[in-house]
Parts: sequence; C-alpha cells; structure tokens
Amino acid sequence: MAAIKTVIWAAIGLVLLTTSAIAQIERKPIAPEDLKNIQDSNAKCLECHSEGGFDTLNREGVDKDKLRDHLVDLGVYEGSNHGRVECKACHVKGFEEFPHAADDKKQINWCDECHTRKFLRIEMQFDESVHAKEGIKEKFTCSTCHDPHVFQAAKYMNSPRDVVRQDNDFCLSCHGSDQSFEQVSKEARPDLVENHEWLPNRPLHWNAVRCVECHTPVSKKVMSHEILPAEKAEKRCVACHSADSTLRLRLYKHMVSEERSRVGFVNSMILNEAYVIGATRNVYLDLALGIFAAVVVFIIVLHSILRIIAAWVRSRRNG
Amino acid sequence: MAERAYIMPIALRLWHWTNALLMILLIISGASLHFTDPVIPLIRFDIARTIHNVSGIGVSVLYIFFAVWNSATGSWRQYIPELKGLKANLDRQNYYVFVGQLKGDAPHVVPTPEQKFNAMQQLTYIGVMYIAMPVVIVTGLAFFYPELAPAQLFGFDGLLPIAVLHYVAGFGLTMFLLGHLYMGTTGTTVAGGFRMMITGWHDEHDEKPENEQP
Ligand code: HEC
Ligand code: HEC
Ligand code: HEC
Ligand code: HEC
Ligand code: HEC
Ligand code: HEC
Ligand code: HEC
Ligand code: HEM
Repeated sequence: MAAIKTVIWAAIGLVLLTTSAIAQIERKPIAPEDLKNIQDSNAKCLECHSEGGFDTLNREGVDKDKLRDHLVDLGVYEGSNHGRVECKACHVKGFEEFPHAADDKKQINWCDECHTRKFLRIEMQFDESVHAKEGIKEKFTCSTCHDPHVFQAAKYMNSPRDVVRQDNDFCLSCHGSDQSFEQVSKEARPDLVENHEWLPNRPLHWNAVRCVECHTPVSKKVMSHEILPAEKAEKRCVACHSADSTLRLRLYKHMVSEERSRVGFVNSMILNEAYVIGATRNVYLDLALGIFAAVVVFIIVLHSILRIIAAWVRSRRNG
Repeated sequence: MAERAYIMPIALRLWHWTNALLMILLIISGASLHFTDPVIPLIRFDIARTIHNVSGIGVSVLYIFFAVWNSATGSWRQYIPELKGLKANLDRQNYYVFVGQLKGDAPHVVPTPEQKFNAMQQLTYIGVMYIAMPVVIVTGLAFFYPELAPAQLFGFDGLLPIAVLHYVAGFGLTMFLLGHLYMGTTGTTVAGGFRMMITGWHDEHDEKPENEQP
C-alpha cells in the first residue's frame, strides 16, 4: 500500500510540475493606428454615453434623465467581441449630431449585415427552438441574449467558469425572473428548481455547466441555437460523467485540440476547472490498481490450490 | 481450558455483517461511479450515486459506533501489537500461512475473548480501521460538499486530491475485503471462521485438522 501511495503522489507531483495554463484563442491583431481611429471615434459618443462622460457632462439641451438609461461601460465594451468595432458601424446614421434624429433608433445595422452566413444558419436553428412559438418568437432577437456591447464568444474567453456565468445569465435573466418572463409570455414561468430536481448538486452543476449543454443538440461548428424542450433535453448523467464526455464537444470544445490527456488524466482540460466523476480519471492509476488487484487475486488462487494439494497429500499419507 | 469460547457478542456480529454488506454495496456502486463507460455495464450512474450515498452514510455511522465502543471498552488494545518480538511474530504468522498451514499444523495463536487477533491481523486491522476507513469516510463526506473544495489547487480542481485519496483508500479496503474473506477460510476448516462470526462461538474443534480427529 505504502508503495502505491508513493507512486500516486509522485504522479500527482509530476502532473503539477507539467501543469500548463490553457491559452485562449487570440483575436485577430489590429493595426495600432486603426485601433486609435476607432477609439477616437467612439470617444465622441462616450463623452455622453459612458459613466465618466455622463458625470461631467454639462451641455445645453441634453436630457440627462433620458441619457442615464443609455450608458455603455467602456471597460466591458472594449473587452467584448465588438470592442474594436466603431459605434457608428452599427449605429449608422444620425448619431453624429445631437440631439439625435427621432427615428435614428431604427437605423441600426443588424447582425446579419456583417455576420451573414452565421446569422442564416443560426436563424434556421432558432426556428426549431422552443422559443420559436407564435407570440413569443417576435419578442426574441439576437440581442435578447447577446448584448452587442457586452457579449464575448466562448472561444475567446479564458475561463470556462466565466463562459458558464455569462451564458447562463442569458437564460436566467428571463427564466429566473418573473418580471422579465411576463414581458415575453403570459404563461406561468416554469419552476427551474422543480424541473431539475433529478439533478443532484444543482447549484454546483449550474456553476460548472451551461443550460445549453443539455438543452441544445451537439453541433460541430457554431453552437446550435435550437433550444430543446424538456422531453429532448439531456438527462443521462453519463453524457458528461464518462471518459467520452460530451463536454468535450461543448463547453470545452475550444480546448480539446490543445490537449486530450495530460499525464494519464482523460479529459485533462476539464480537470483544470472541475473534477467530474467518471470523466476525469487517471488511466495510469487505474492500470496500477488493476494490476495490484490481479496480483492479489492470483496469490489467493495460488494459495487455495496449494492448500487443496497439501490437504490431499496429507490425507494420502495419513490415510 | 474450555474448548469453546464465546468471543463474538451478538451486537458485534450484527455490526460486522451490516458493515460487510454496506462495504460490498459501496464497492460495487463506487466502481460504477468511477468506470462509467465499462465494457460490462454496472449500475446506472444516478442509481449508483444514491446507493453509494446511503451506504456511505451507513458505514460512517457504524464507524462511529465502532470508535465509541472501542474507546469505551478499551477494546482498541486488541489492535495494538506487542512491539517486542513483533518481527518474530509476523515471521511466524507468515510462515504459518505459507508453510505450516499447508503442512497441516494447527495455528499457534488461538483467539480468546481477551486477545482475538494475531499480530498479522492486528497490523492489518490498524491499517484498515484506523487509517483507510477514516480516510475513506472523511474524503467521502467531503465528496458530499464538492462546492466546498478549493476551486483550484496547483492548476487543478481542488476536488482532485480528495477524489484520488478516496479512490485509492476505497481500493485498499476492497483488497482488504478480498484478503479478509479468504483468510476467513483459513482456520483449519474452511467454514470455521464464518461459523464463528455467525454463532459467536470459536470452536476449538474447528481448529483441529480433520485428518487428526479420531
Ligand atoms: C451630447 C451627448 C451625446 C452624444 C455625443 C451622443 N449621444 Fe447618443 N444620446 C444622447 C442622449 C441625451 C440620448 C437619450 C435621448 C434620446 O433618445 O435622444 C441618446 C440616445 C442614444 C441612443 C438610444 C436611442 C434609444 O432611445 O434607443 C443611441 C443608440 C445613441 N444615443 C447612440 C449614440 C452614438 C452611436 C453616438 C456617437 C456617434 C452618440 N449617441 C453620441 C446623447 C448623446
Ligand atoms: C455590433 C453593433 C453595435 C456596436 C458596435 C455598438 N452598438 Fe450600440 N446597439 C447595438 C444594437 C443592436 C442595439 C439595440 C439593442 C436592442 O434594442 O436590443 C444598440 C443599442 C445601443 C444603445 C441604446 C440601448 C440602451 O443601452 O439603452 C446605446 C446608447 C448604444 N447602443 C450605444 C453604443 C455606443 C456608445 C457604442 C460604441 C461605444 C455602440 N453602441 C456600439 C449595436 C451596436
Ligand atoms: C458592423 C458590423 C457588425 C455588426 C452589425 C455585428 N457585428 Fe458581430 N462582429 C463584428 C466584427 C468586426 C467582429 C470581430 C471583432 C474582432 O475580431 O475583433 C464581430 C464579432 C462577433 C462575435 C465573435 C464571434 C466570432 O465568430 O468572431 C459575435 C458572437 C458577434 N460578433 C455577434 C454579433 C451579434 C449577435 C450581432 C447583432 C446584435 C452582431 N455581431 C452585429 C462586426 C459586426
Ligand atoms: C436564447 C439565447 C440566444 C439567442 C436568442 C441567440 N443566441 Fe447566439 N448564443 C447563445 C449562447 C448561449 C451562445 C454560447 C456560445 C458561446 O458563448 O460562444 C451563443 C453563441 C453565439 C455565437 C458564437 C458561436 C461560436 O461558436 O462562435 C454567435 C455568432 C451567435 N451566438 C450569434 C447569434 C445570432 C446571430 C443570433 C440571432 C439570430 C443569436 N445568436 C441569438 C444564445 C443565444
Ligand atoms: C426573454 C426571455 C427568455 C430567454 C432569454 C430564454 N427563454 Fe426559454 N422560454 C421563455 C419563454 C417565454 C418560454 C415559454 C414558452 C412556452 O410557452 O412554451 C420558454 C421556454 C423554455 C423551455 C421549455 C420549453 C418547454 O418544453 O416547455 C426551455 C427548455 C427553455 N426555455 C430554455 C431556455 C434556455 C436554455 C435559454 C438560454 C439559452 C432560454 N430558455 C432563454 C423565455 C426565455
Ligand atoms: C444537466 C442537464 C441540464 C442542465 C444543465 C439544465 N437543464 Fe433544464 N432541463 C433538463 C432536463 C432533462 C429537463 C426535463 C426535466 C423533466 O422532464 O423532468 C429540463 C427542463 C427544463 C425546463 C422546463 C421545461 C418544461 O417543460 O417545463 C426549463 C425551462 C429548463 N430546463 C431551463 C433550463 C435553464 C434555464 C437551465 C440553466 C440554468 C437549465 N435548464 C439547465 C436538463 C438540464
Ligand atoms: C452537462 C453535463 C453533466 C451532466 C448531464 C451531469 N453532470 Fe454531474 N457534474 C458535471 C460537472 C462538470 C461536474 C463538476 C462540478 C464541479 O466540480 O465544479 C459535476 C459534478 C457532479 C457531482 C459532484 C462530484 C464531482 O464529480 O465533482 C455529482 C455527485 C454529480 N455531478 C452527479 C451527477 C448525476 C447523478 C447526474 C445525472 C442525474 C449528473 N451529474 C449529470 C457535469 C454533468
Ligand atoms: C469501501 C468503501 C468505498 C469505496 C470502494 C468507494 C469508492 C468510491 C468511488 C470509486 C467513487 C468515485 C470517485 C471517482 O471516480 O473519483 C466514490 C465516490 C463517492 N463516495 Fe465512495 N467509496 C467508499 C466509501 C465511501 C464512504 C464511507 C462514503 C461516505 C462517507 C463515500 C462517499 C462518496 C461520495 C459522496 C462520492 C461522490 C459520488 C456521490 O455523490 O455518490 N464513499 N466512492
């Protein structure tokens, strides 16, 4: 036993020594002067539309009460996927002047203008989704979930925990609040705790996996936007709790190519974040213990045979 | 000298067999939790989890009984081997297992109410009852609250060391159970030891090799 424990701790030590941080996917580089131009252009809007600008703002004719509800957090904006896009690229016309022209609001470049192919595919998936019902469908747009000033795609994020938090907030902002839900549907809000009673350690799971892990079909490219109803949602524990965990194709999709197994741990990229019973075991440890068990069984069998033979010999001799 | 000795009180025997049953449940369900994609499918994950949790708590409660009973009655002394001559004792025990027993010698340590175990048993039981069991129970209880484990430990999830300890100690106990079962057959009659654990009586006749009986 002592020997085995030494081996295990040595193995763990080795693992720790070889621990490497997982790199996020880098965003495309941008020329410094281009970035400067964008920032200067955006600064003009942020004079009024940011916390800092708003506080010092003292311009004739600006309705600060109205403006208060229309602020953009610069730090969050620059961290988002659109952080290097000009405000004016989306808020196309009219916002240059102030006061803004009355129907400028409608003059927003919609997602499909720039993300044509993805948009089409996602829209088709959305049409299959539980949310694509008459009366609800109209109230869903891309920005219901993706605030274009905030959103970060999973592949650019460092920590799966952050991805989980962000993506679950999309759903919970509505499914976790009667107030928001009412605005979309007349029906009673489904009780999430009751509906997921079958899932043990629920708070733990909801910090470690996303709603979409179970409520969407696996998709190779862009995450499927077809939200599945109760009957089709994933209920099998081993979908995640196994060496062949679907988490590899979902939350950890962008990390899988970097590593499958480090020092014998299957799904070791998950292990940086979470120990998932059944999915993150160590094959070397399993093998070592398996051999140990085989040896014990072998000795027992051998000893039994010797005893039988010995008893037989004795009975011959005495008998 | 009495030929029969009543050395296993009913409460102790009940404790022992309940414990044995729960251990077997823990081993089977534990294996199902660990090897979730087995060649031979064991128990379904969520069912295995329920079985494992219930019997885990059961074994922990039994262990508390054991600890309290042991310290109250002073029985823990049964587990402390005589240090003087320990090596000789162990050698003698090993010799008996691998040579003497095969030749048909009678065991030289016969259990009595005062001293139930031989040196080998003492060492094994110390390892099992005072090291492996507490480790399995403490790590098992920690497993009930995975959210309390440190989020990160040297770049890995903080639950990893708990899981590895639990797995290895649980495995150790499994190996003990195998050896223990087998050792149960090595009183000089195959069923003698089991009979003792069922009836409570250690029967001297059981210790006489059949071929020496009149
Ligand atoms: C002088 C301050 C000021 C500047 C500069 C300014 N805005 Fe505004 N903006 C406001 C105020 C005040 C409102 C709220 C009143 C309204 O709706 O007209 C507003 C409203 C908006 C709205 C929300 C319309 C709605 O009701 O949904 C958008 C979008 C907007 N601005 C975009 C921009 C963009 C893009 C720029 C930079 C090109 C910009 N603004 C520059 C003051 C400003
Ligand atoms: C990728 C496109 C895009 C970019 C870039 C963008 N916006 Fe927006 N913005 C939108 C969309 C789409 C909406 C409407 C959201 C909705 O109605 O759900 C919006 C809404 C707004 C609103 C009004 C909504 C509110 O918050 O009350 C303001 C103000 C605003 N944007 C300011 C800005 C500023 C300032 C910038 C630059 C720092 C900027 N936007 C950059 C797409 C964009
Ligand atoms: C004006 C063009 C434009 C519009 C309109 C626009 N985007 Fe983008 N979007 C971009 C650009 C440019 C990038 C890449 C930024 C970079 O790489 O730094 C981007 C990146 C993204 C990403 C990052 C993922 C990836 O594949 O790179 C997502 C997700 C995204 N946009 C969603 C949206 C959504 C949702 C909308 C509608 C609300 C929207 N975009 C509207 C220009 C736009
Ligand atoms: C019900 C909420 C919801 C709606 C509505 C929604 N999305 Fe998403 N979308 C998500 C979630 C959750 C992800 C998580 C994946 C991630 O973070 O990369 C995502 C991811 C994405 C990505 C990144 C996928 C990748 O793998 O790079 C894009 C692009 C995207 N959405 C575009 C859209 C567009 C365009 C629309 C509107 C047609 C839309 N989304 C509507 C929830 C939504
Ligand atoms: C803006 C509000 C809103 C958001 C955001 C939202 N939902 Fe919903 N969702 C609804 C409403 C309303 C219904 C009820 C539809 C109905 O009446 O059947 C619903 C229904 C559902 C259902 C149940 C369908 C059934 O079988 O009855 C599931 C599952 C679901 N949503 C999952 C999600 C997930 C996962 C997300 C995040 C990616 C999400 N929702 C985001 C409003 C929302
Ligand atoms: C581990 C997988 C899993 C996760 C994670 C998960 N769900 Fe579910 N969800 C299910 C399953 C399976 C059902 C169906 C339960 C049943 O039929 O008893 C369900 C049911 C639901 C329902 C009710 C549908 C109805 O008909 O009433 C809603 C709404 C829902 N989930 C939303 C969410 C949201 C929001 C999240 C994220 C916070 C989430 N789910 C996370 C698997 C999951
Ligand atoms: C969508 C994937 C997914 C599904 C489905 C799932 N789990 Fe988990 N489960 C996880 C992840 C990831 C963790 C790790 C959480 C952590 O440590 O932060 C976890 C943790 C646990 C834990 C705590 C011990 C540990 O491994 O960290 C238990 C117990 C558990 N799950 C049981 C279940 C059971 C029972 C089911 C089926 C009813 C189930 N899970 C379904 C992903 C899943
Ligand atoms: C012979 C005894 C035992 C064995 C062989 C055993 C084995 C195992 C194994 C193999 C796992 C899976 C962990 C992994 O894959 O890393 C596990 C999980 C677990 N064990 Fe044990 N275990 C034993 C005793 C106990 C006891 C006494 C307790 C409770 C005090 C316990 C509580 C747990 C818990 C809570 C889990 C997590 C899964 C769940 O929630 O059921 N175990 N055990």
